[in-house]
Amino acid sequence: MTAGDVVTAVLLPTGAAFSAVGALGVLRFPDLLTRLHAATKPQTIGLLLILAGVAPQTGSLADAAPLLLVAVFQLITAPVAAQTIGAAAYRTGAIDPATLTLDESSPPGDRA
Amino acid sequence: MNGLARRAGGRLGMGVWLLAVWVLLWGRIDAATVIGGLAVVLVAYAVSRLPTVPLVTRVRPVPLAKAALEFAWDLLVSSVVIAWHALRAPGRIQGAIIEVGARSRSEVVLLAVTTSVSLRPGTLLVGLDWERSLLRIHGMPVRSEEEADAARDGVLRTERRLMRALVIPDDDIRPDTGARPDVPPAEEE
Repeated sequence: MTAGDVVTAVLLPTGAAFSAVGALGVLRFPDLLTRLHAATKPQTIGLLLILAGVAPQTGSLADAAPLLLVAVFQLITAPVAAQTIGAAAYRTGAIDPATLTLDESSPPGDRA
Repeated sequence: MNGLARRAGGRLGMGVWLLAVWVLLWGRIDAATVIGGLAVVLVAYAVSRLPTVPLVTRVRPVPLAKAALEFAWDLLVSSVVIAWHALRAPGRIQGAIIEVGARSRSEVVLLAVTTSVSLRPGTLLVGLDWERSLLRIHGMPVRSEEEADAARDGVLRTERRLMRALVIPDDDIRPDTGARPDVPPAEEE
């Protein structure tokens, strides 16, 4: 077993665990916004860890390069999806006020 | 530097990025791949008229590396915090909508900030008021005013970090003070 195998053995299960907890969060959090947090965060780091775990097994730099591309696009696209859904939820008032301790934004009538 | 050169520079940057993606997808660098990539980039430009990327005049490598490292750390912490709440008490989670006044007027910096915010510890962008440079952010877990202030400070810290790393031509704000020359200084957090 090489050092690369050890890295893979540690990172793959860790990444998988983060992804699993992310899925659990989507299931268990009370409303749309809190669920979005669960969908965008643990899952992102889960994928990054899995990619980092796969990289040592590819053998060559050329084979590992597309993994980097996957990571970059994940980091670029995950926030876009989260922000789009978040903004839509906010504008349509699909936020449960019971889950908010504080709302500094203008009253609903003024929402753009 | 005039506007034309700036636009050309922005286009060139976008073209280089597209070519890099192409080469990475093929996973090898040889004449055929690069020439094919150039052809694809040219066709993509001719067909879609891709938008000009606002130019960053200078990237400071050390602050950028620092910002990237701190971002990676934030990402890890955020994931652990949210994972902890998902496992322990998901029903009792409390959040807050907070408004943060952005200091930078640069699209690139604001894009980097919002991207970073949406990937960071329990913060998520739900709205952006461009005229007032106001970021509307959902933070979680936030149970008190103090935690809301802490979340706000986190966003402002991220912005300061990124403004230090990316130098933008029309961003006339000094990152060290955060003061804008044409308006009275906003109240400090």
